[in-house]
Amino acid sequence: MLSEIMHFTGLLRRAGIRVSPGEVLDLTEALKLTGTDREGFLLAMEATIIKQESQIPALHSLFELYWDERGKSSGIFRPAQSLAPDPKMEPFLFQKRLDHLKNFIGNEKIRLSEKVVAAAMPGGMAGRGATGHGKNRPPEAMAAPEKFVSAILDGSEEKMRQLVKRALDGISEDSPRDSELHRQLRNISGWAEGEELLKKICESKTGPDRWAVLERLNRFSEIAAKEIDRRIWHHSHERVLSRLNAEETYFNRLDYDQSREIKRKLVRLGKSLAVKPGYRYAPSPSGKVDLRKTAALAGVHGGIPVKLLFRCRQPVKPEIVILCDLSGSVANFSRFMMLLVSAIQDRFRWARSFAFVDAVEEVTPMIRGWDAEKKISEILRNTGIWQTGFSDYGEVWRQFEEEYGGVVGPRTTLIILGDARNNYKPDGIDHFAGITRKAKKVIWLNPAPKDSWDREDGIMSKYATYCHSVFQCSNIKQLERVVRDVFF
Amino acid sequence: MKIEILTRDVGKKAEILTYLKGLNGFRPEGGLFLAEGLEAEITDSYMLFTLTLPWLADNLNRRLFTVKPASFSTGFYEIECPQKIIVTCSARPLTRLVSSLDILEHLDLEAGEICGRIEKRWTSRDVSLSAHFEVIIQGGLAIVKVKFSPHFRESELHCRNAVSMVNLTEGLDLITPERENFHQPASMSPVVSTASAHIDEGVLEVFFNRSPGEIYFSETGDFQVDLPGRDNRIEISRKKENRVELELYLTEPWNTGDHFANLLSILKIKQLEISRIITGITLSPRDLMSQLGFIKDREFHVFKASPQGLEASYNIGRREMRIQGSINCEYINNSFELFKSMEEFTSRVMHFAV
Repeated sequence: MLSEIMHFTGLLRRAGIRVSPGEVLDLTEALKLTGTDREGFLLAMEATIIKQESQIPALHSLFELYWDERGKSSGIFRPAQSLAPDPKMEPFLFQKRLDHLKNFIGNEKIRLSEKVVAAAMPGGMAGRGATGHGKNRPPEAMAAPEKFVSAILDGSEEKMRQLVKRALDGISEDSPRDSELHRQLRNISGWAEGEELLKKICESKTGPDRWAVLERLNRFSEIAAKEIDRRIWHHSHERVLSRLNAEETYFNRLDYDQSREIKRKLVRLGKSLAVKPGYRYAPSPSGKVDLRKTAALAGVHGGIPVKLLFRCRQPVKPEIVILCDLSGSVANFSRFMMLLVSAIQDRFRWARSFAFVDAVEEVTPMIRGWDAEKKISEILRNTGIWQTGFSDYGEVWRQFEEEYGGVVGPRTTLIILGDARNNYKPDGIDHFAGITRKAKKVIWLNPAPKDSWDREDGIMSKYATYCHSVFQCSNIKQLERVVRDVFF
Repeated sequence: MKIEILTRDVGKKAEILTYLKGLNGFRPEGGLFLAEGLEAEITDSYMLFTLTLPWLADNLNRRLFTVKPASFSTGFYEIECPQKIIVTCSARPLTRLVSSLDILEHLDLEAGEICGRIEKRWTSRDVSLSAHFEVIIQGGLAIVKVKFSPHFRESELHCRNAVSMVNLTEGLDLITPERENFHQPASMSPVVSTASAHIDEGVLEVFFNRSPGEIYFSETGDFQVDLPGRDNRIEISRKKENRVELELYLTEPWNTGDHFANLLSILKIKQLEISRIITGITLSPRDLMSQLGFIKDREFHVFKASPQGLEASYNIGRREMRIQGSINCEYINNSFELFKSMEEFTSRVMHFAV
């Protein structure tokens, strides 16, 4: 079992959960207390390995994929009878069952009312004389969208799971990407058409509660995602692991929970930058003893150091100018970049922010608070940076040099956030060179994958020659590395 | 307590409406049928009953089962249960309810939540009916889903027997303290004194000519004489060979007038029987014997008592009580005392009824 645990902790590390050897030892000790049934195993892992709440979903997903099969086949899990779990449901599950019972008669009434479904099902899909959702017909006789509607209105998770499994069975084993698998599943399971039908049913006066249907659709989506994961896991562990690892997931592929976590990390990163000590020392009530000053004072008292004087390093106060591309091609990246800009701006006195698409404008006073999406739309609405919607780096450099040239000085660190896709317009390299010449340091953070920097309309290599550092920065891990390398 | 019963078996519409028609306060209103403690929505595709009286729900529910010949074996019958039931009621304390559950799925005493199942089963020979009560309680409110499932096949008699045994209140009793309407309330007939006689047509002539009340002639060829006093009457019908049959119904015999006793002697009626029947009354043998003074009769189900000059017999199997007495026609004006003692005894009996 120890080798299995070692293998599993290896997978956890690849999924972005840091597990130290000491924690593995703790886990083995904890297993002695909790027992080795499934729930005990999971509890021990949560207690010893998990350090942040955001890591729990990843642990649960991996646990299901790895242990549920291996545990059964290898007999690692002891049957849970010896340590009976509490008869306690998850709160949402209890609430769901309660709601199901409360709405049971209402939903059944709808199911039995022929008119609603007959009106909604086009082209005789409901079947002649059928009484609602093809209920009286055997499931194999139903069309795929009809099966989907039936499963959603029924609300049974088992039915939904069966539907997804059957649809996945019909998809070729070597589907290349998650999105492709998802797209094929939508078509084969009747999900795409079924959603339209459900919309019509909900719109009818006597239709079911729209929110209840939406909730079931969400549940179906979750079940589909899990089943797709299971399917992919059998072929390649790496794809699942990289997706679970929020720190290595591209900003534009983060789900809601992951993006919340990343936002938190970004703010933390901004704070750590603010308190970073510089090289200059200043007198301080505590810290290291300032020997020079203490010795000078001791001379006054006949060589006796009556009073100790201290000094400590002062936080750096760099002058930072940030230029952030808000065009459509880097929209997802910009959402997170704005948070970083906001965090930096809150902490550094000398930080000024500029946004650009095909024109540039200062946005320093606009960047305050948390809501990045709102902030971006506010900037686009209240400034003139969005003329055509297509990035024009040449024009931006020209305008910046002319209008804001004085902002950049010999103590300024210029940070540019953008993908350098110029839409085949003039590159304005002279203006860019003029700006960079004045700056102390120029750092370019590009969210696009490195191999696409010079493809199609990308001109990164042209600008890179004038920059001190150019980094790919499309996930939090890369961003942390950049911050470490540049600021520390 | 709110009980909702939904069935897709609209073939029973006629039978159900006929039953509902006999309920108190039955009336159609818009698309609904209303009665005391019931609201019925009957459409082409379903029937939905919303009830507040558990005994009525039980009566209705039994009518919604279908006993039909078994497929491929028509000598046998099987039960079909298309109805779906949801009950919303106040819940018993969770600590008390826990022991009643057959399956416990969720328990959170701090949040006042419980989820579980109760199973009940009624069997008649080979066929049986199971009721699964799925209970969810939150904040003292219980929501119960009742699902019936039949098992196996038998003769029609046994299937119907199993259906007649089904009792929702058996399961609900474990869940809710609202027990007021679990049993159908007892129905009481008015106290009435009756007598009958066969007389010659010649005697009728004398009676009519001296009658104190109004005389009516009906299309069926019978006479009715309305006597003084509420609901007092004599029905007279003609029989063979110039004989006439008299049926006397008196609810207030003491109001019939001073000379009525003489008239009765003309009609050759010497004694009046006073009786009352109470149906659907449940009394425990202990109360019957210790509190109401009944003694066990030779017949298996029957208890008897003789309170205040009356005779009372209670059939515990049929849950029916008959109270009767008799009075000589000469003392008809003193019958009020007997009526009063019958009312008093009835109220004592009702006090101990479950």
